[in-house]
Amino acid sequence: MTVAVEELTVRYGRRVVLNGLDLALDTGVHGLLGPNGAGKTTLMRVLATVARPDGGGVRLLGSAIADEKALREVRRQLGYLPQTFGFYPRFTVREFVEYFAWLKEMPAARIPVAVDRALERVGLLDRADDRMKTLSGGMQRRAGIAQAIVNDPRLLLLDEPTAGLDPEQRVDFRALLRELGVDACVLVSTHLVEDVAVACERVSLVDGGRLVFTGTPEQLASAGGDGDAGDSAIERGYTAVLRAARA
Amino acid sequence: MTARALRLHLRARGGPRFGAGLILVTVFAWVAAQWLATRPFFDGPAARVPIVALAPLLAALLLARTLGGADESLERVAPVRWRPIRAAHVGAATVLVALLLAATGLHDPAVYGSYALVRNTLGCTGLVAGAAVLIGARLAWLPAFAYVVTVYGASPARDGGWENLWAWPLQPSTAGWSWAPALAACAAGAVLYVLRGARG
Repeated sequence: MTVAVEELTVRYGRRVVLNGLDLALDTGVHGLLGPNGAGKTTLMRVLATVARPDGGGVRLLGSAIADEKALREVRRQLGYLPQTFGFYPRFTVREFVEYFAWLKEMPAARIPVAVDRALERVGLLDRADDRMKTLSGGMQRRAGIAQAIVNDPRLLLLDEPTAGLDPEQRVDFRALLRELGVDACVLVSTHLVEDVAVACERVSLVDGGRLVFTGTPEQLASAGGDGDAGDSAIERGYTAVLRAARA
Repeated sequence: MTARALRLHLRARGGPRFGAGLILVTVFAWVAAQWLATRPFFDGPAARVPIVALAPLLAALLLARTLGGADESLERVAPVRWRPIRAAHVGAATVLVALLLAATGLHDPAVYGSYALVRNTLGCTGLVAGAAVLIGARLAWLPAFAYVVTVYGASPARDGGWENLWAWPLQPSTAGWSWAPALAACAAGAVLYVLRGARG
């Protein structure tokens, strides 16, 4: 398993954000759904090794991350796009991605080609020499995705990657996700269930800090009925699963 | 680290802005100290107290923003060895500030001159480095600023007793105990920063 999480607990003060969550992910594109405050971003931060769990076990890429050496080894194979990220306004797009390639300890000789490839994959190669501060919100988001994939990560964590992308860009992005998911474990946290339905092979639904559903998008869609709220089958499945979990 | 990577890192941390600001602070410190020390109605080099307190503080405030990246959580998940980079960063910046400011106080260095400027640089740098760990690089300037301004407003520049300790930014360099809190702040802040980095 690329990601194996058992009984994961995270607290912020007295508030329990993740409450004994179990999750197992392997190669492919996985969607992570849940309402606001469900614990999606906290889970992503734990998997990205930003936040430490208060309890439970996390194995990433087969490692329990017992020491600094193991942590660095995992981080070399990790790509992460936070929900919001601070960027360097005076950097060009190319410099921004190049800087993160260096932070990820990529061999210097490989970096220029890897940067161009990452920018091409997110459709920003023609804007590579523009300053970050001149980009639109959607383009900055794509630059963020480029830094996440520049090292060809085995584990890619994308928190709300489609926020700010226009419909055409979202279609392109879904194609990129499918391409990335051939070799890597890609976890996409999103509110947009239609992205999950189209791009993800499996979907996990989190509510109240616990995993309440895991399966294929089709299985999630089939969980809903005509009486459930939603404009599509998968939206009706989503609301049905949440309602059942809260009952 | 390649030269290209070093350049990118310096730019990512606002190195050019820090350098330009530091030059301005140095010029200001030199001009203002000269002016104060040569006024007939002041008492010579001892009139440089405000500069000795203010210039290292301003330099430390400039340094504060360089102690963290634009996105600490994004940088923190990078596998690069941060501790040596942080040590080089805070060490090189402290030495640079101390040398430049010390050069402005070489005329009679013992009377609110180079020595006191070096002491205050060490103390203020330590305060902002420690604050960056506790409250983040963006606000790291605040505790040092509040402390020095409070001390300046509350304390006469007098040598002796407890004032050597708590009002160290205003003491003459000959007040031996005034070095202890500055060195302690420098060591504690720098070690904390090297080990933990700025709060994200």
